[in-house]
Amino acid sequence: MRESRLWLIFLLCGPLLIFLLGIHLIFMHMNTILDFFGIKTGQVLAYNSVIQRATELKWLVLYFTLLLLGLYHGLYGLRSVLLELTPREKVVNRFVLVLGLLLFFSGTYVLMKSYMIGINPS
Amino acid sequence: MPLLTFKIQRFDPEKDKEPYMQEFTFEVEKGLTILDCLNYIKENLDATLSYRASCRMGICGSCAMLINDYPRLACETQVLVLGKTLIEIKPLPNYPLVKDLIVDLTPLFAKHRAVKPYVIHPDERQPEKEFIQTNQEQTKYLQFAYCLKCGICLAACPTVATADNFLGPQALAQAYRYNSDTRDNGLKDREKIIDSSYGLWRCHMAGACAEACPKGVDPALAIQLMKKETILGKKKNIAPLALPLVGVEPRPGIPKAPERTVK
Ligand code: SF4
Ligand code: FES
Repeated sequence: MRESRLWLIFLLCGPLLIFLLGIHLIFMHMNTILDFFGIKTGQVLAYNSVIQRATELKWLVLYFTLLLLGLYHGLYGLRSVLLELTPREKVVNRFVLVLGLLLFFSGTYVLMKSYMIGINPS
Repeated sequence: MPLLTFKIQRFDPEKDKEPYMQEFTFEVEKGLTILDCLNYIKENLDATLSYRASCRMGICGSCAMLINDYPRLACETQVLVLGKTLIEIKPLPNYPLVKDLIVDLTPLFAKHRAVKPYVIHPDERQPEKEFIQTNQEQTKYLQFAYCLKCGICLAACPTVATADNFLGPQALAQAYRYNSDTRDNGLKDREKIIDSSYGLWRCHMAGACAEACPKGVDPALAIQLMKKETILGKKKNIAPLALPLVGVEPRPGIPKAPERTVK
């Protein structure tokens, strides 16, 4: 793919990440502010709440999208840094791809595992 | 006349393992350039000092060197304007060292050549008449056409410092210069090289190239404009060829132009 396309996706991931991370941060870590506006979030960080969220489609989609966007944005940045340190473009591309796949599968595994625990607690 | 000390990097690949600094102290009068002082040293103090220079008027771009930690043209740098009594002169960084103040500019020229720095005509045939280009159209690329190929911008660029493959400010500015020229139709050809992993997108917009360029060329601007054009697309009008002149008589007494010798 042309470098400009890769860069454009990297750029678009930025604001999307800010938006989605913003949702995550507000709901998980800013309950005092939400309480102030009359939105009751409860014990969001308790184990049961975490597992409960893992079974809800909207949270699953949010975390999966965050995983994809975060990985792309971060790994493109890492690739840019590495390309400036070595002229071996193919090696860098392969390294970043393998690292990305490993992180993607481990992230997806965590999401699936918590989903399974959520729907089948025993 | 003030007494100045010149600390100059010396290196002879046949004798020295490492570069070292050598000092020369002498009186300098107002109006002398760094190049004049190097000439003085070579003629009077040490004939083995090696450096490159030719036009001594900021045209050829061969006397670029690191003067008090800043890349400049030696022939355009007045010694007393620097306001220092100790002047340190080193070869340009980011290039392989050849001898004393001489670096190998091959990477600069190779990158320059890679972006096809010439007008690529829309038609296979050679034009029979001149292109009609307006002043406004020319203004779009004019500042970039002033590039001397001195290599200072590559020496100033922090990305070139670590990424040898990065096309660098000079070549990218020249790509923009020809892409913006209405006589040229090489946009697609150049895109392949500038829109690559070691092209446009490695520029961090440090702006050191624009700051250091002795001719006021702003390669950082060219790179940002090309980034925009690459993402949003570039619409370009190709200059029309002039119509053949009809009913024009040469003034009496003006001799006829000789026949073309190159077909
Ligand atoms: S852009 Fe300026 S600094 Fe760079 S090579 Fe051309 S004249 Fe020299
Ligand atoms: S000697 Fe030609 S630019 Fe300095």
